[in-house]
Amino acid sequence: MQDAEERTFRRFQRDFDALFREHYPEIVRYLAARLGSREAAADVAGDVFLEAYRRAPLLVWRGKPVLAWLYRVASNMAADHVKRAAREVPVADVGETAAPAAMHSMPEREAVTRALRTLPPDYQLVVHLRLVEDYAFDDVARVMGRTVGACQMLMLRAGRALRDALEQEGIHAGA
Amino acid sequence: MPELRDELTRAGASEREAAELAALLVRAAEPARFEVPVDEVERVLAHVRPLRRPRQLPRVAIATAALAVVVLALVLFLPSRQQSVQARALAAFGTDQTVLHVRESIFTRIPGVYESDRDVWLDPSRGRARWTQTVGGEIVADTFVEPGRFVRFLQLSGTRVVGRSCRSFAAGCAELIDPITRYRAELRRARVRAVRTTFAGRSTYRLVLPLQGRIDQVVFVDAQTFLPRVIEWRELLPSGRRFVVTTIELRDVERTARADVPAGTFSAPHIGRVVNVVPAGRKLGERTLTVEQARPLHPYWFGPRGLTAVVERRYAHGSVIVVRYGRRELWTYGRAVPPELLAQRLAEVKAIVAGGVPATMFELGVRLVVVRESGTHSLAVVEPAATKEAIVRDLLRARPLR
Repeated sequence: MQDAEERTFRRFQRDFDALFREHYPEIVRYLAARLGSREAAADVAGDVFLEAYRRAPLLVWRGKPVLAWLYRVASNMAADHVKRAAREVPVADVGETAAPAAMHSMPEREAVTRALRTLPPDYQLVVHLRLVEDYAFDDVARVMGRTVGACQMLMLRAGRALRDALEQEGIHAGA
Repeated sequence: MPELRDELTRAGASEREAAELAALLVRAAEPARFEVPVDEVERVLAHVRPLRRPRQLPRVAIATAALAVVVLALVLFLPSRQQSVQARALAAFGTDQTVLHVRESIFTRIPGVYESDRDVWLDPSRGRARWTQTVGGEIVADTFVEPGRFVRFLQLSGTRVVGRSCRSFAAGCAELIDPITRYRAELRRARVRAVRTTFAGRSTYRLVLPLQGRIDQVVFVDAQTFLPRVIEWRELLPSGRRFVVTTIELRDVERTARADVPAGTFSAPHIGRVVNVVPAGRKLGERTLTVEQARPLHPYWFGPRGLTAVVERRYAHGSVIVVRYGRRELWTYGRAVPPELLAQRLAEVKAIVAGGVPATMFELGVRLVVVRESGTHSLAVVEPAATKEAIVRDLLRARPLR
């Protein structure tokens, strides 16, 4: 098992196109969830893979797949993007934010995804790997460099944090 | 999701809490469960694939050798090679007497904006162009332009918009400027950096040329024919990053002697109700309207919610109805085009197809504008601090007040 993973690791180090084709879609999905924009996700994903091109051949095998490294880079770049966007982009349209009834009419689904974006990055990652990419917890644990039990605990905390965030907006998870 | 519920239970949640949280987490994750199309993967791969593979060991020796080669190439070889690529790329279009027939697909990275195809005939020496724009195989616009005249048939409204020059058309009819023309002009003018690379498995040169202002163009030129295959227009963001706003895929570039051009190619469309558009001219004044006063004029609006004001601006050649929602505005106008929308800087205008209709998007000071012309009942959405996707969404949801 370990040998097969290491072989895959080496193959991706040699073959950038294979690495890209295999993992670009999930990195885009992850970034879209983190950034709330498909367009920004594609932009940042491009940067993630440029970095992968430069750095992946130099990575040392430490028992973790290249994907773990990709998610780490994507997470860091997403955080940078959010910080930059907060600095550069003026506040949202006044017409929308000024309307007091807007929150009540906003679809609950949008509120849920927005609340997810406020969670710590490792909470978001565990949700993404397990529920978007459908990885088993064994694989989630390998990517995140934690034990299966720790990842399950992280998922539970993510669920509770999400529920709390929604309750602060007056939305009850059980509803 | 029973599995997740069990996993949460194992992590210490009660069964009731586990069920509640599992349902919530699944709902939260759902929007990210989208497919990324294979053609997008290949397109982005072609764009991000760097030009040379980094070397591994022995790094110092290879770095030194590479540096020596680069210096030698720069000193002796590269300038002439670069110039040669540029000259051959220019020569590939033939002379000014050559008529070009181009089939191109345009992709814009804005949700709600369609991919569109154009079939373009260009006659540079006589300043003539004729093209049809299609979405999903359906013609949405048929346009002809020559010095002193342009005619455009818009399928959706069934109108034939006629003007004396681009200056009487919103956004300076930026979409009349074909990407090939822009590329060719810069090839003549600018000093071009060419790098040998591969694109979609074929040997190409990658040229980076200026376009205008914050936008440049990256052109992938076939290494055999020296004709362009893909043109990307990239915007320089305040962060310093380049963002590809439009990709033009040139499926076919054909050179034709003028004598061989099919008869009727360079003639104006002759169907549709004629609307002569003109610049609105000098502003004469404005007045506030009630919704009831505005209703017979059928201006575009989002509905009564959040409505701040309806204003009629009167100009020498017509009027414009401005419907305000805070700082968001919907401008409805007929044949008189408001002065703010005229003659924008061409390269910074994006020609898009939204909701099956050609539209243009550009910045107006700090505001973002998207314009959908119909000749008789055109709409401009004007928003400060809007994202491109948000303003396209607003364009599509605006409806006439009836």
